[in-house]
Amino acid sequence: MRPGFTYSSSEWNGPACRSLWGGRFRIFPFLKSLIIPPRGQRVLPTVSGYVLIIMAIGLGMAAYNSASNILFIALSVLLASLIVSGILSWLNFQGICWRMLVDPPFRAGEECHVRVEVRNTKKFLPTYALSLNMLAQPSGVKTVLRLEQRLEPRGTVQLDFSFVPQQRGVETIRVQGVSSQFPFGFLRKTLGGGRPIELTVWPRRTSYRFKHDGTATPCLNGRPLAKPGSGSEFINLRAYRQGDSHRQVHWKASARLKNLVVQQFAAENHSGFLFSLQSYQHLWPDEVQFEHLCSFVSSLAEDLFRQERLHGVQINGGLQKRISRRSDLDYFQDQLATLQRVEVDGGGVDLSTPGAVTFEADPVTGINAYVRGQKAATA
Amino acid sequence: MLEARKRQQLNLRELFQVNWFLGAGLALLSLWPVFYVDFPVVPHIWLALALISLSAIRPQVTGWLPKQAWYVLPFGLVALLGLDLYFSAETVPALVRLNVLLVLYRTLSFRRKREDLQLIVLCLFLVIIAGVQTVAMAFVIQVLLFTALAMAFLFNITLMENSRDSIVPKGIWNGFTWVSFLRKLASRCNGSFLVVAFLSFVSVVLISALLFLMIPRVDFNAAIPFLGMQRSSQTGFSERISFGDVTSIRNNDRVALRVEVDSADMIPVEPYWRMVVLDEYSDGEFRLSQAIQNNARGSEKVTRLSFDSPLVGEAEAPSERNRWTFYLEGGVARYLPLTGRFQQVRLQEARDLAFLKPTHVVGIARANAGLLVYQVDNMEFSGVFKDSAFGMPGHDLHSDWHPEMSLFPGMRRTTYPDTTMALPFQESDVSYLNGLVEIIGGGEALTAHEFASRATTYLQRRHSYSMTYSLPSTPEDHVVRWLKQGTPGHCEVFAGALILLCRAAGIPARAVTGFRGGSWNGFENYFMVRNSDAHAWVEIFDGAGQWLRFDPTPGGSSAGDAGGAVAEVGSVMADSSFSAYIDSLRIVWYRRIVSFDQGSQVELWSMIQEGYGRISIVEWTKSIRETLSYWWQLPWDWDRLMILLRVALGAVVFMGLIAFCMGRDRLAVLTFKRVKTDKVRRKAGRHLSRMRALQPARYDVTGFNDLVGHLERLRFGRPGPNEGWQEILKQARQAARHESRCRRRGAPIPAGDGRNS
Repeated sequence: MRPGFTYSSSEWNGPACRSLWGGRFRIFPFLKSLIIPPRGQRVLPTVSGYVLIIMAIGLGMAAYNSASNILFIALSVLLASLIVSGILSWLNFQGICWRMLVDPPFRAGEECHVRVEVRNTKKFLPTYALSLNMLAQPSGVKTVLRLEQRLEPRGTVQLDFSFVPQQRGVETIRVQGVSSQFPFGFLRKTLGGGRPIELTVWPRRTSYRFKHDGTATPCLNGRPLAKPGSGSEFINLRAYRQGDSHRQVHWKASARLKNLVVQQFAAENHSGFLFSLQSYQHLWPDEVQFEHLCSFVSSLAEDLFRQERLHGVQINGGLQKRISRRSDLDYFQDQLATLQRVEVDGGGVDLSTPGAVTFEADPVTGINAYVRGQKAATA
Repeated sequence: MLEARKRQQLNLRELFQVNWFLGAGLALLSLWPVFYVDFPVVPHIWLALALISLSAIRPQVTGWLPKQAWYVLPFGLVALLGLDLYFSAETVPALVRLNVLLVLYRTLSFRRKREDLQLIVLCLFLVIIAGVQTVAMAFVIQVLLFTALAMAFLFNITLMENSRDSIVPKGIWNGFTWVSFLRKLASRCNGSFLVVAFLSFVSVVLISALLFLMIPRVDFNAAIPFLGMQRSSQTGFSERISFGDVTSIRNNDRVALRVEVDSADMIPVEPYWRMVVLDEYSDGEFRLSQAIQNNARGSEKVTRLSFDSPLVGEAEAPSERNRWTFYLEGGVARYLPLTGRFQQVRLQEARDLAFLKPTHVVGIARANAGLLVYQVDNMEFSGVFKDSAFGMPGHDLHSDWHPEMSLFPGMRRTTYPDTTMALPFQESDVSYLNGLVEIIGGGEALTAHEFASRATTYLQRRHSYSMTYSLPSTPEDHVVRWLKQGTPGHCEVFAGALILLCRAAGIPARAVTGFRGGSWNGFENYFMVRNSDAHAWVEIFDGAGQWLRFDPTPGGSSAGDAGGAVAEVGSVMADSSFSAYIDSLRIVWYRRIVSFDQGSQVELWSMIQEGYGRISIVEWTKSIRETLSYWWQLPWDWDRLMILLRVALGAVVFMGLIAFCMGRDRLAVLTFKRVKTDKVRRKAGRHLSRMRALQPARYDVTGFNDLVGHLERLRFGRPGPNEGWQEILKQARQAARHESRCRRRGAPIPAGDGRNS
């Protein structure tokens, strides 16, 4: 599990949500919920519950036939245990809330981790034996996350749910229900899991061959970037660090500040590429090949961005979007994750654009990438 | 933010150990009541108790048995059950023995969830069977303790549910010591858990009590005895009594019979509770002749009776109806103690009832193993029984004898009423008795009553009372020897002597055994008869169609004496000892619990309705107001000031508790402090106004609306700690920043960029 979850579903679910968000307890909705259970809530007897029911029926029959009050006492105790079991179960669920924490990005074919944070907001009572039924769709992965230890009053616990999505797209993670057999195991009470979260699963990584033989025309070469580098454009002053070149020291500023200060210069752009992706039905009649295209483009974009050689993307003849930051690339990956083949032809590619990369299906090699009409990569 | 105090918890191995001890405790608890059941199961219980106790003290010993043995043992138990059923006549005791062994097996073997549940069910069966058989007050304690232990056991099973399969028996008890285990248990236990456990248990008790009262009872007119086990009665109250049998019962001081009447006025000074009437005497034994027994089976009423199909007797209904409720302890006798003729007898459960009409005795087929409850209407105490048919032609009962219909096998054929006149076989004994009759009668022509009175006086003058005596061993009859020796004797020998003297004088006489006297329990107002009140006396036929009671034992009373009269108020001996108090709890148990039925429910409901009708809230508040006003106007002194101070202190403590339960923020309202959430509200309000100025279309609509909703809750929601407010405000800040940046650039904002906002 990677440390540092940065993005959460930002929504708590469960009985404690109302108190978390300042909702008021109202008697009539509460009574209504006792008669008509909320969506997803159900109570089913377990094996020991069925045994108890059968025993209660047997005892009841014996008690009525024999008019023996000893048997009526035993029956009463049995039924009282069942009632108290229900009350304790209700108490156990009170003050419980949960939410899902996720740490994108997610890729098809790679393990995804979802962390479920369960919180007990009760002041005095701990919560025992909770189970969360997790479901990931369309992967169809089902897992039960169990609370092995009791959850202390005002305590929080985090449970991990891992799965491997098999295809790109939107993966829905749902807590199908939170169940517990507490306290006596007669009944399994399940609450509805609340709102699901949707994860964007980027296309699967794929292997490809990329040969940049210099025919590709650099795009925006020498243009300064908004990050420190070895270019010529001055962007900032900063304190001297060990290892900095003496040539970078800004002596005037250092004298004024009585501390060594070095100049920072902007990085310069290298030869870059502009992806021009077309998802037209007539170009990609085969679905498998289209999926392969998405994987190829995603992997190539990732690698070129790391080399600072991806400068922009254009999908189906739309607006060109600059890829200057990680978030720009992430957004492009999100678009790739949900990209579908379209019927309408939005126009061709302007091959005169410097560094424009186009993709075409090849019946032999699979998919080829062309830079200004020349084959540059194969997957 | 929420802060949890992290406490150490029991790990799986320790939970399993707790589970083991709870199982052992449950088994021991369920074996305890079986001790009091009248089944031949004591060796099994001792075996189970010893082994389970050993396994609880030193759990490591269970590992000594090879694993294969646990697979073989069930087959052995099945074989044992087969042999048991083959050799024993009764099924229920055999099943109880098997149940005990199964409890032992399940307690000692390695258990998973299924086996744990089996153990609970087996133990519950034992507790219920014992409870039904004994109908003892201790059943309530047993069942409550059982409930508490079973709840803890089930709770522990639930805790282990998720990871139980990973437990392996090997190594569970390695390094186990009681000291370290108890220390660990004490360190892991916390107060809130104990409080909740206690409250849960109290709730179970209260709810079960409520359910017991509320479960609708349906009167089916003929309740079937559940596990209707029978047992042999005490020999002093059986069909064959030797001298000393009744006296041996007197050594036991336990209460044998409890009688409920409306008031003590209805109890005679010294009541005689007739149980068995024995008409035949020979070889130093009194017997119930076979003819009477057969007669009861053949021509008299033998039927299944219940409260709604009563046995109708001969007594006439008096103008004032009186009803007696009897609680006869199990194993005392198969005959119902009655003082005389009755109008009707009704039983709580349907049973085979035999009415021995010639002797006015009512009995069931065999002595009840548990409590027998019956009611008698309009019972007489005079000690006089009308029997106009006695001695009349055709009254011989020997012709009715049908051996195949005998209720009491093994009795010899005898004729009735000749049996009431039979004397010892030896001529010398008869001669001696005739001689005594001459002495007592003095040659006068006496009525039966006069002769019996003189004979009683004669016997009481010559013999004193003693629980024990010794006689020389001679071939003479036992009673004749006693008469000759002039030694002290007990009630049976006094009765035997009077019977033989009356018979020698030509007066039919028969022996009666039962109880004499008793004491009034003032704690719960009922009459107690103990085993130590066992007694034997005589009934003689007066020749005018009546049987008269005569008690020749010193201190006894006879028909027409004061004993037959109805007692004055308070004249019955009252028992206020501690044992009487304990016994009064039992009668409460019998009255309120054991005899609780549909009628009781209706009565209870009426009582509640009446009670509710009496309560007037307005009057109640008015009276309280008046009382307080009066109290306030009284002159003030130190004591009254202290009372006021205590009340004020109590109110403050109460308010503090409420404030603590409602939360610290509520408490802050009381102290006029501004709570921290006000700051959150202000910030949320600012962000909310900014958010409203944004263009939602630029953002993911769902995310935008969610954020606005959260901010609104922070701003206008319920006061108190709001979890996650920092995150919400941060997201609002991000959204505002994003908006301002986009405006500055004047560039189109991609829809997805606002997903985090």
